[in-house]
This record gives sequence, C-alpha cells and structure tokens, in this order.
Amino acid sequence: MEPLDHHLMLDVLSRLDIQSLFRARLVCKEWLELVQSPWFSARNLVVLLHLGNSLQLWDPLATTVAWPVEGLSRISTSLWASSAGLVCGMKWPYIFVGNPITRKWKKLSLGQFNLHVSNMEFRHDPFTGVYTIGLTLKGGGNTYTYTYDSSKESKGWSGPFAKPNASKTCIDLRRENHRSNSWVLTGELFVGKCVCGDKFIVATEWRDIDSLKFCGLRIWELDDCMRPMQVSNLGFGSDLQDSKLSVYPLRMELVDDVIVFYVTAPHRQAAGGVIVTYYPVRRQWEWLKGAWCPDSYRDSFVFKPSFSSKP
Amino acid sequence: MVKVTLKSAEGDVFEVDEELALESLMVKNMIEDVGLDSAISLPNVSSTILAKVIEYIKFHMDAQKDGSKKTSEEIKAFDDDFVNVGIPTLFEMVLASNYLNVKSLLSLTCNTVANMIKTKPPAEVKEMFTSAKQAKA
Repeated sequence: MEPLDHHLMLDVLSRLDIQSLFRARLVCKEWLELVQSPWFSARNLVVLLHLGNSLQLWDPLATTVAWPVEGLSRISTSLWASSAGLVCGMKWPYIFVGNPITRKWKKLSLGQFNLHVSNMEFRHDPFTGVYTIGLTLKGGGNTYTYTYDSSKESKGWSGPFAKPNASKTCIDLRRENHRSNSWVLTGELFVGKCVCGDKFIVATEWRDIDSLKFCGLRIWELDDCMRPMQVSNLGFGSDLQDSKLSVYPLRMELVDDVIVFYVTAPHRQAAGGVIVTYYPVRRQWEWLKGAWCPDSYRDSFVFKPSFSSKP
Repeated sequence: MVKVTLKSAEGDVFEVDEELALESLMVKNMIEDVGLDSAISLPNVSSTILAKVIEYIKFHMDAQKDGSKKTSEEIKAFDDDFVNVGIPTLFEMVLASNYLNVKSLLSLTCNTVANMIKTKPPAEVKEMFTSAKQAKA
C-alpha cells in the first residue's frame, strides 16, 4: 500500500507527533517497520519533565499536555543527557539509561567513587546500539574523567583520564571578542558549550553595553583544534524581537544535531519558559511550538524520540 | 531574461525564466551539466503537476521580492489552498517535488500528508493510501 516510497514515507512520518506515531504503527506492517527502524528520526523533540512526584513526557506538537513515564521511579537530578532516542540520568550511586518512549530502562552502578560528579556526556549510535557515558568527577582537589562503554559491559567503568581543557578556551574566546567588538563586551556571559559533529560550539549572552539588555546569543563555532572558525551574532529571530520580550537563557545542551536553549523572561522566571532550538548545519533558529510548561527548568530536559533505541 | 524550456511526461513544453527554473535543484544540476540549448526533459512529471509546481515557485518568488505587499497570512492562505487537492494529486505533488528537489514544496506537501494521518484513525489512513495506490495504477 505504498504510493510513496520508503524514503518519502520516512519523511512524512517524521513530521508526526509521538501519539500519532503510536497510532500510525497500527496502519500496516510496512509503517511499523519504518517507525521502528534506526533510520527513523522524529523531527520534533519531546520534553521529559517532572510534574509533582512523577516523570512525564510532553510533546510540543500534541494536543495532550503530558503523559506519565512508567517503569521508572522519580529521579531527582540536574544531570541529564540524551542521544538518539536514549536518555541518561544520574541518581547517586546509579545511572539510569533508558528509552522513555518504549519505557525500557537499565540501571548502571557507579561503584565506590568518593567523588562529586560535575558533568556527564552521553553518546549513542542507533545503528550499532552502542552507547558511551563520560563522567567528569571532582574530589580532593583533582579532576578525573571516567567512561562507560556499553559494548564492553563486563569491564564497566574505565578511568581516570586527563580532563579536556574546555574552560580555558572560553576565556580565550572572550579576550578575542574584546578586541574585535568592544561595544558588546560588557555583560557578555558564558552560557554553555557542546560538541556538534566535528565542531565545538560555545554560546555566550550578548548584551547591549548601555542598557545591559539581553540582545541575543552569540554562537562560536570552533574546529577540533579550538580555533574559532565562525563567529556569529544571532538574535532569537523576528518572533521574539517583535514581541519586545526580554529573554534570558538558562541552559544550553546538545540533543543530537540540535542545540537546545532553555529560555525565560526574567520577570517570569518562576513560571517556566520556552525552548528555543538552533540547527548549526542550517544556521537556523526554531521555536518549539507552544509554551514550555514546567516550573523548574532544572528537572526537565529534551530528547529526540525513537522507537528503536534500546538501553 | 534567459528562458529555460521544460518538457513534461506528455511532451508538453513549458517556457519559464531561468531564475524560476533554478529553484528546482534537479533542474539546476541539469542546466549546469548540459546547458540551456536544449529542452530539459522531465519524464516523471505530468503536465498538470508541472504547471502546479511552476505556479507555486512563481508565487513564492514574487512574495519574497522587495516591495512585495504579500502578508504572511496571504502566503499561508495560498499554501493552504494550493495543497487543498485530491489525495492522488497530493501524492503526485510529493513525488514531483522530491524528484525536482524543491525543498519548500516537499516540506509543504509532506506536512499536509502528515496532518491527514494525524487526524484520521488507522483504518481510514489505510483506506486513504490504498485508494491512492489504485488511482495511480
């Protein structure tokens, strides 16, 4: 029953919200196979958020507000990461890896580290099913990096390794910025960094020097030698500028090929905010449709839904 | 203004501005490879659909020009009306925009198909795709 070939059908299905996808799988065997293949990648992002005492999923494209994620007790942590359909959350001394769509979860034990975890990186390859977790741990004045490789499960965690010197790069960048664009230096604040493909991306807030009003984000793209390749000043697009809404980016993270910013208006900080996405390849900004509802941005994060990813 | 000649599956000839023809990446590549001397043959696109695609590109090119008075509401109304066609025609437009590689039209038509899937129960979706296949055959 295919008037459209598989490639075009994948394109059409990728535009559906999650609940419509669940229904579309029932249409025929071909569609079930398409949606559950690693080639399938949904276009929209889904938010996993804490509401009250439960984890819930919220699809900005859907009419329903949220539905609960079963099979997982509440994880209270600000350390979340996601990659190609899998999410990874830390609740000391365990790390949970799972797929909120298929509700399959796996618990990994961290072992006896007497250290504080300061950063977590997570990469998952949907075609091989292999994922790696990288942890940055601090303790006793030292910094360590540990990694977990799911293909070498029996060996568990390996490390410590030397820490990549990312913070230094950001400071150097700001000095360079001072020389080239002195009028925006004041109030240029570091927002976040992430690695996208072979690029290292740093975002800083961009403020007007007189009013200190937030004007937008400045995106720095660097190659793997940490040289700035492209420096661009980017506002949040005409939508926002028209509304004269003063915004404030709270957090930045990489979700597969998309950079996600959690943004709020300062005077509405308690009422949550909205999610803005930036596509580095297309150099394009996009708003996630609808308002972002959670009260606490710290306990929420965004991931790309997948039916095929297994923890 | 340089003209480009496009030839549909039925052999009908459409003469369009080069600027318009270049919006199709497939035609653009063909022009780069074989030049402008001969007509560009599009055996996978029927005359009806080719005329629709040209109409779409022309409207959006005019709307993007400086001094255009088209509001975003008018553009949206045009797009909504443009895809308000029978399901077999819609599928043909998806195939043609993919073949001609017109990104914005592919996006518009695929979104339209997706919205149809969204609002219908699985049995009706199946019916919609089966009847479209029969109409094609």
